[in-house]
Amino acid sequence: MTKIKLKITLFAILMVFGTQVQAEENVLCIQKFLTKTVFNPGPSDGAWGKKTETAINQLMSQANNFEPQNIKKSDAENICKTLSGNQGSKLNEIGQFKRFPIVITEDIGEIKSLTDFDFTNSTISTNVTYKRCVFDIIHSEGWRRASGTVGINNGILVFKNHEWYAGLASSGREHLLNEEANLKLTNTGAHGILPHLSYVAEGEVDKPVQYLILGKDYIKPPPKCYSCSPSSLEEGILGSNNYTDDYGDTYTFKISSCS
Amino acid sequence: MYKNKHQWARKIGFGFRPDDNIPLDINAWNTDQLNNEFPSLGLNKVGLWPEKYNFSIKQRLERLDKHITYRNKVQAENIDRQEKNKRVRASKEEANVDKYDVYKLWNSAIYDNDIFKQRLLHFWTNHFTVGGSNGFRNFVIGDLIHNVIYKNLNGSFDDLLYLVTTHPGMLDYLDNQTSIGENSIEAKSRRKKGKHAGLNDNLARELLELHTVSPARKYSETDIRNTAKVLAGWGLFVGDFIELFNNHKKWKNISGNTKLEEFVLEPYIKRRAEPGKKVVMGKTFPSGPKALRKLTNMLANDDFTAQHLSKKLAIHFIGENASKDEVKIIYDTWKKSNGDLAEVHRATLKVAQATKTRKFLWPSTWMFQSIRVSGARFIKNVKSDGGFGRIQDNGRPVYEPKGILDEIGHNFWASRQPDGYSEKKLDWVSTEHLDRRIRIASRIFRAGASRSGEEIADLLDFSDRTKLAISKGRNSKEKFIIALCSSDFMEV
Amino acid sequence: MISRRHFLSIAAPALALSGYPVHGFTKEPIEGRIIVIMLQGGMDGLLAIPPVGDDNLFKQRKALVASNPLKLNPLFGIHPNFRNFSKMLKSNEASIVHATSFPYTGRSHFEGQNIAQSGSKLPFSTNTGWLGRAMDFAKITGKALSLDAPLLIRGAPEFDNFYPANIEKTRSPQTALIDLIKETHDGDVMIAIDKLSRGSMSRPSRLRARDPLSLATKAGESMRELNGPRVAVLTIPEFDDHSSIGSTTGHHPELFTLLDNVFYNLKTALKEQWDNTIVLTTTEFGRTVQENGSAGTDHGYGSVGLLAGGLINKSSVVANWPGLASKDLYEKRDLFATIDYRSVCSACIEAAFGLEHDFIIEKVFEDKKIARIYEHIFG
Repeated sequence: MTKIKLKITLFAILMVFGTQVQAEENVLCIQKFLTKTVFNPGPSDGAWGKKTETAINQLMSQANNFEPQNIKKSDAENICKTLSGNQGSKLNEIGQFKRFPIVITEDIGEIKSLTDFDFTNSTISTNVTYKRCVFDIIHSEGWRRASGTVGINNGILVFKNHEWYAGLASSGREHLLNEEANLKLTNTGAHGILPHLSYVAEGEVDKPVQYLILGKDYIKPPPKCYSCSPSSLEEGILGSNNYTDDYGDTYTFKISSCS
Repeated sequence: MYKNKHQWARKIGFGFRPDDNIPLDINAWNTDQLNNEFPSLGLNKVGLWPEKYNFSIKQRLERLDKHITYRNKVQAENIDRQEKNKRVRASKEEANVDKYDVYKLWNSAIYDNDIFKQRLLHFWTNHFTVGGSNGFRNFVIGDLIHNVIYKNLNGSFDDLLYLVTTHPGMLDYLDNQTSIGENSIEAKSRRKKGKHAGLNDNLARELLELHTVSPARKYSETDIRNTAKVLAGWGLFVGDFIELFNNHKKWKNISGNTKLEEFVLEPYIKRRAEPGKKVVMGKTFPSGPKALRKLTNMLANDDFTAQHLSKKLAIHFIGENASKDEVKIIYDTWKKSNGDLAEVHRATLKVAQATKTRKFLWPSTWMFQSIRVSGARFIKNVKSDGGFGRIQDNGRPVYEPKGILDEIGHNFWASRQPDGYSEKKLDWVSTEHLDRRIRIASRIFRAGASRSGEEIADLLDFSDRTKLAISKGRNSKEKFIIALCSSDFMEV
Repeated sequence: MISRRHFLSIAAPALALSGYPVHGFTKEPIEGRIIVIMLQGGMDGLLAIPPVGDDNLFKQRKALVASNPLKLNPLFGIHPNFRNFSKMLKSNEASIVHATSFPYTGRSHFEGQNIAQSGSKLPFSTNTGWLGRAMDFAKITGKALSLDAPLLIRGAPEFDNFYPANIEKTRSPQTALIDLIKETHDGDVMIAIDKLSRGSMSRPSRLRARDPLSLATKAGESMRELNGPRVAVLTIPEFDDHSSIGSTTGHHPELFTLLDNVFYNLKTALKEQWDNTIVLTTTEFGRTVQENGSAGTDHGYGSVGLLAGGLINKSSVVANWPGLASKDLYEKRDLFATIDYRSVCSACIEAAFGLEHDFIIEKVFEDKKIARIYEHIFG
């Protein structure tokens, strides 16, 4: 009786031992695989520790669209099979680089185009109509950033043509450039306008139609006066407002000489 | 093999004008080219460049200083912004002398007789590139070109190297004026105030990599670092040069009786220098200002410098495919003469005379040759006509000389990287570049060329193929353009 | 304070367009488009994409960290000036590769720029670029047709037997003259003149528009066309900030805004073709971790690569982060590069041109083993 018990016990011990050996082999198999990747499993000792668990979970998560895995020691055999199977080389490739998913929770803030000007509090009434006015966007240091002609249709600005000055405008050398016009006059009732493609070949004039609705009040310009001195013509400026951007540059948007 | 004197004059110079005296003895002419004071050939009214358009470095900085003072005054005034701006612009335009510098370069290439020297001037200016800026460096670039490089083409290379390295323009261009020794008095004082201060290795790196030994020497990052330590304390911002000079004198960083014209030649502030010895490429340098000369001498005399620069000279004059033997001739002369530039340039002449290799000309070289050889009245000759003119178009002054250099993509006053303009043919062969050459050839014609396309083709022994193409041009303008844009003219 | 107009007077930005399908020669035009933005001078990757989760960041470069980076994940943030690019990250149209570099540690601009274009391991060892060679093998013709041909897109001459179609219908009256000039030349010059006579890109090139933003719009518009170029190379210079590099504001950050708007302009102009496009930045090296004496940084090693385009499916930051402790730095001064940037280039070629990774490594990069990073960027 004892002999059989002994045999059974021995057999049981061997079974457990064997399973344990097998288990260790599985863990070793996983660790050896991971060592060839950037997911460090710690020493290849066949022992399933925190490092090994973290590493294999990270690798498999990265391989599965960043879904969190829940791989435990008990899964070792299956995992080892997977790693040794035909998925193995793909997983090895994935393991060469760590990929950090991006989760942006903060507000990115308003996108500012370089030609984005926010002339809050610009004032033009909704029942004002002029066929043609001149507009300028002027930097506080005196150089022109943009200019062109604009019509006003019941308070809506219709840009007829415009040119943006780029380059060494401040030192007097001006390169004319028909550039993206992202004029945005914001106030209650104002809209931003869509950027339009602006790269215009030399000699051509870009004729975009842009609509902006501005605020309610306006300053009525004085009647046209050809014999007046320049300064009094300046006074006939419709809507003249300042805007300071993130870089500390201040611009004035002026509309004048309307007819 | 340059039997044709006109071709020879193009190979190593800018060609002969229609009204130039063609020398009978080309060897004697070669020798004369290398002399310091080149005598006029007689027929040409070649006078001296008007003194009033010569500006020393001191004068340039003074003009700049005057402008800055005026600018500050105007900014503080209570007048309209637009008006302020206009006045400041006008003041800068008046104070800046780079328009004279550019004009001098043009004038010399087109009218002067020491054409080999002019080519050497262009070569060394490109080697020691100092890029322009929107600020104030353009005030002094011309000084480096006309007063430093031009006047030191016959001496030894180590003189030239030192003069260029210590030039305010070069120091400013590669940010050395911000480089402060980490253990200098200045750095310690700044750190106490919570500000930072330290070395900037930009000039050090380029001094080794581009100007002298080149990476073939296999120097280490430590060598660069220690070179930066030797260079620390040299240079001041060009824009504030005089004000800083006066301040440093006040703070006793510069001795009270130092004159500006002395300081400007060796602008060194001890307070910002790194104390102690420095080891560069195995050699030890003491602290103090004299170390820099010792360092540049070592670099100038290094074998790798001789190799590097001999090769560059060969490529510039002989062509991209200059052979190892051709380079060796120049190199041997360099070694034997210890970097005597007169000897080295003489050797370059010798090799160029014997070579079969052709060089695809730089845009500016090609353009100056086009104007010179055709005799076109593209710009006025300052010396004989007196005064400036802008570039002519059908008799009307139209273009700025600097603008044209920009258009052909080869402007020594342009902002650019320190390795300068390429000597590789491929870099100048794009539709863009060629398109511009064709348009400029057209403009040169309109400026009144006295040699036609066919005459040029005969004069320079063009190939039959090219002569045939020229003959198919429908009018004299087309023939002219074909001649100038042919491979025979673009390469020599 | 440097104002915005500085952007528009940048020294020498340039655009090269290449790879036009040629009527009669190209059977099936490739749909994918590649745009390379070359940032010349050495971009400061740590300033652009600060590893905010690395404690050593603030220890090593206190003054050179933006005060309000946008957080991307626990380890990385992005400089606030990258607003448009951040939006693309949020909508899975962009990705970042960090601590990366071409296999070059020499810190010379000229060698570095050459290697970033040639794709070789030795500087000045070849006359072709990795993108040019990729186009050779993808059988994309009409290659060297460009305003200026940077090394990056130069292919082997024997592959460029095809002349591009006449893009613009009108022929310049000068054509006859140009043809005569061509008769006097051989080789490269003759080819270049020939292209000139076909009135191709020469007209737009005379425009004085020199700023990267309009060039980007131009590139996008051209590449949107069915018979338009498949490849564009945009160069933005001036990243070499040895002094006053800036942190939240300053010169480098302004260049970030510029770069950000370049991405935006490209996307806007490409419209529906954005889906078939990949844009990637290259730079010759990064910058030192610590600042130098002039509030700037000197040349370094590892930097970042920014990628965007509809070909990307899921945004992420790919990095084998080496750390910023002094012991983790390259030569105790630079961010280590743990990813070979050629892997990124290969992945882009694979995504846009459909060539296989092993083929690209062998033929385009002429190397034995470069890891495949395709899945991490496009998967």
